[in-house]
Amino acid sequence: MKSRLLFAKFSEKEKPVELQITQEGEAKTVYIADDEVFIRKVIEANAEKGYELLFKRYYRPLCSHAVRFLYSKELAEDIVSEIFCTFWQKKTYLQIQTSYRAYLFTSVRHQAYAYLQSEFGRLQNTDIEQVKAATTLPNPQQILQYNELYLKMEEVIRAISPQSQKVFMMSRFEGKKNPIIAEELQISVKTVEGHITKALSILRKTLQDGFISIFLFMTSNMWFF
Amino acid sequence: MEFEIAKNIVFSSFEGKATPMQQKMVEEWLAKSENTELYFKWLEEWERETPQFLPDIEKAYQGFLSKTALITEESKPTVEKQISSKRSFINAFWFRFAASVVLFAGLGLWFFQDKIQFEEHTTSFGEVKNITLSDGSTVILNANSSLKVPRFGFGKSTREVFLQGEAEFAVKHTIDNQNFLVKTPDALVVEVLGTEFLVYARKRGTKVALHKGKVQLHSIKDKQEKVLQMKAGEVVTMDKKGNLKLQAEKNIAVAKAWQEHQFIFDHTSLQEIAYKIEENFGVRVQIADTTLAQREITGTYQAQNVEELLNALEEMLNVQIIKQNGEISIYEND
Repeated sequence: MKSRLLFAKFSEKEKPVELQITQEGEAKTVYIADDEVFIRKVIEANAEKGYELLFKRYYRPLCSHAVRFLYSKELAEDIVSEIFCTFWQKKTYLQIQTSYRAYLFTSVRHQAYAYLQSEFGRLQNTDIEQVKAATTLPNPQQILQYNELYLKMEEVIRAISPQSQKVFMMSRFEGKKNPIIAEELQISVKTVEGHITKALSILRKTLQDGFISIFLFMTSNMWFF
Repeated sequence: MEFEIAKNIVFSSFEGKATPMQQKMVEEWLAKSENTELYFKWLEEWERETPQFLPDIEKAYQGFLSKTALITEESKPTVEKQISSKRSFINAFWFRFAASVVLFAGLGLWFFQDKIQFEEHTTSFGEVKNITLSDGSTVILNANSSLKVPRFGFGKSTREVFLQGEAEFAVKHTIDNQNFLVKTPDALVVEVLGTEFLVYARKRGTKVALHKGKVQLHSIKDKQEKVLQMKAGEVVTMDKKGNLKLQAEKNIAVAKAWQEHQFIFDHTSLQEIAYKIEENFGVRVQIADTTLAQREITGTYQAQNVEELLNALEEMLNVQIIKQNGEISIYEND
């Protein structure tokens, strides 16, 4: 088996996690090296050192994932940093049953969603506290809904006019101030504001009407699954 | 192999490229809770392969340390000051060592102060460079020129650059109305707020051409400051004594043309062209006799290098151009 060979060299030292993939009725065993074992060991020996490794390993991919929902570098970094802080301060990293990775990615998704809800959604309060305490793995529907959400964001942003898109990205993704955008693109500040308002209203409309309502229905049903 | 297939399919579902059937397959696959871990492993892999931006990890980690107050424990200097004779000997050694380091560093600083203080952009013959300064202003530096920009303090209270040669400036207006100064070797200071202009500062003299906005010129040669206000479309030349002479630019395009490797001649003498060639391409040009040197040319020529330009001139003027030992001589055709 090719995949068994592929992972054999990783799993020599540590006991591999055994996974079953069942397809076409036939069961096969695939070994996946638990590559977090090292970080976990370091955390046991020296929590601070280990946590540094954890932080540096996942910071970038988590930010990259967060920004797919938020379209703002600053917001993405804020959310990821915040997650790492709470994870540390509440010592959640000692309690979780899942991998750090699954926990962190799930948290990013929850937090990003909570942010979008507060910005675009109709719901007043979000269950951020509840979300932070989520130490179990999300269910398949939830996972795929999040997938759909960031793809939807991308679709909406691709669909707006090129000029609006440009202004929106400079403003939100890069975090530039309106007068600076106006100067760079040689347009008036009013026009800049117009483009941003337009982009945001399209986003709001799509997210509210087409997506969030269904999504909320699902999550409210599945939350304590 | 199912394992490989599943990975491809999951990746295409990340990208939004999976078909509805494949989506269904991923959903079924995820129903087995062990696969959720694998899903996130692949999600991480995918984010590493196609990052949306690259934040500064080190900076973020420092932010994390200060937020969680870990920093107080980690970087607290270990305080153990027990003075023993052995220690003081070591200290004396380290003191001497440190002192010599400081001395050498000081000497180095003194020798290289120009290099440390300024970032220098230079162009060789025939090269044109686009430079963006930290305040967003742009400079197009023409051939055989140099622009020095202070490394420290540029844009703090004033913006000041030093030019030798020829450059076109597009200065950004700052919110706090900071002025922008261009200083040339012969003590001319061009003062602007935000505009587009060209400065020519070579051995033959200094010239400023203004495309847009307003600038103020200060000639500070001989400690007698002469000030002149320029308007768009004007050209000011400065003579060796520091006197400023104002003239309306006939064709502002002439000044800008070299950016596109274009040569625009408007009743331009062959002597003038020879100077231009020397300045832009670094080859000396000699003209056989004075009547030939005074012949005038009008027209626009596209030339990437000196050869192309010379070929055009040869044909147009019906002259003979000979290149020898890196020198060019122009003769009348007999």
